[in-house]
Amino acid sequence: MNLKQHWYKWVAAVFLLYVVLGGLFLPLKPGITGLTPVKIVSGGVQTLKINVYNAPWLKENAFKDQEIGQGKFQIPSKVILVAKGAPGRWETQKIKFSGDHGQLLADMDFTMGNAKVSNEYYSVFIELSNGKYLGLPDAIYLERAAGDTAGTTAYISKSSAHVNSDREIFEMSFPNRMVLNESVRNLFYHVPMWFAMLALLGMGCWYAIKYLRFGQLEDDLFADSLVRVGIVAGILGCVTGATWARVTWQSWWPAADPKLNGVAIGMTMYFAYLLLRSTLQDPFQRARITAVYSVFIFPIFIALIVIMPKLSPNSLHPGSGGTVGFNKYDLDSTMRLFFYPAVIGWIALYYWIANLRFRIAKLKENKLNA
Amino acid sequence: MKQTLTEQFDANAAELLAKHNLMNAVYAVLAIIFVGILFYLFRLDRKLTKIEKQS
Repeated sequence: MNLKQHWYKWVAAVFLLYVVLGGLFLPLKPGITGLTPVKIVSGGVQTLKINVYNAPWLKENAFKDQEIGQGKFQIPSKVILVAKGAPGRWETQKIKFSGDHGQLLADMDFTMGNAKVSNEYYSVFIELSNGKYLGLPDAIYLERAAGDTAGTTAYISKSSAHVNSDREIFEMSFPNRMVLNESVRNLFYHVPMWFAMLALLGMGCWYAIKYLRFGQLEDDLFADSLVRVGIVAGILGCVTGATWARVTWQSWWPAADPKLNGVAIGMTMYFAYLLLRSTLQDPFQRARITAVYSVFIFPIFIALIVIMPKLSPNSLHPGSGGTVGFNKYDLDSTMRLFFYPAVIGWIALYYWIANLRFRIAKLKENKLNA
Repeated sequence: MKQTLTEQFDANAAELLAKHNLMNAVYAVLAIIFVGILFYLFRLDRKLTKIEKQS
């Protein structure tokens, strides 16, 4: 095979294999997924139940390893509660392990006594034996009991050490987020559908301009193939997005989201393109009219699905309408290592399919003319 | 000792999440893309067969 001509096919094959395998088999970072109770009235020892997903101490030999002092595995050494407004913290080392699935029971003394502690929402942190932390922000509300106003206190009022849940060392694992959980991996499969659609529609627009400039029917056929395969990518983006939304946003199609509304309108414009093209018989007239239409709707499509959601006041999609983008979760860039190849790989694959469709369309055109 | 439903759920929450994590959503999304692309390829294939038969 001629490498120069086929390079993007190899890019599609190699990158997508890497992305699918890596995206499925790399583990998720451990993370706190829940906590009970969520409200505590001070005074006396109370037990916090903390659920941890992918807990590192569940690995075989984690505790034995700790005794030998290798420290390859991490086990929890402290549970700490800190609040943004408070000068100190609550902490305990009385930790029990319950069940086979990473549940911690932490006995914590919440006696406020005469310490000056206001009622606050506290974030929960588990300190691991290697000095790292697992955290859950604003997880528990602590309220002073009516009688708990004088006497001893369990509150550590001196300013706490800086609790930082960022990880500096490089680990091949994906960030663990509350609602997303394992489905964070869909970033490599759902999002590139849209990147591929935009890339193909953009190229289609480019070839439409080229047709209008030079009047070669081949350019029109290629533009048409690009747009059609772009629409296929868009439909797959919609369906995969609906599946993902069902488990994370609890709805197949949350209509309040500006990106979904934009896509609904934008896709309708491209369905109209298909309709328009099927009604015209003369190849030159068909090429000219659909080229103009394609050049006309592409910028509107960009405005609807890229610009409008960014301007809108609220959105469920990350990175638009005041929500935090995935880049903020991805502290050690493991996701980037898969996301960028995924985008390139999927675009290459769809371009390849568009190319096949173009060659078939060209063959058909030649047959008709012969 | 009889537990209430919330207490039961609470006791099993970690176990529940370990079993019902959202990995299935990832498999579903990958399957949809795979089926979708294959479906389109079959359509292209049919189109090509039609053209071949015309000659």
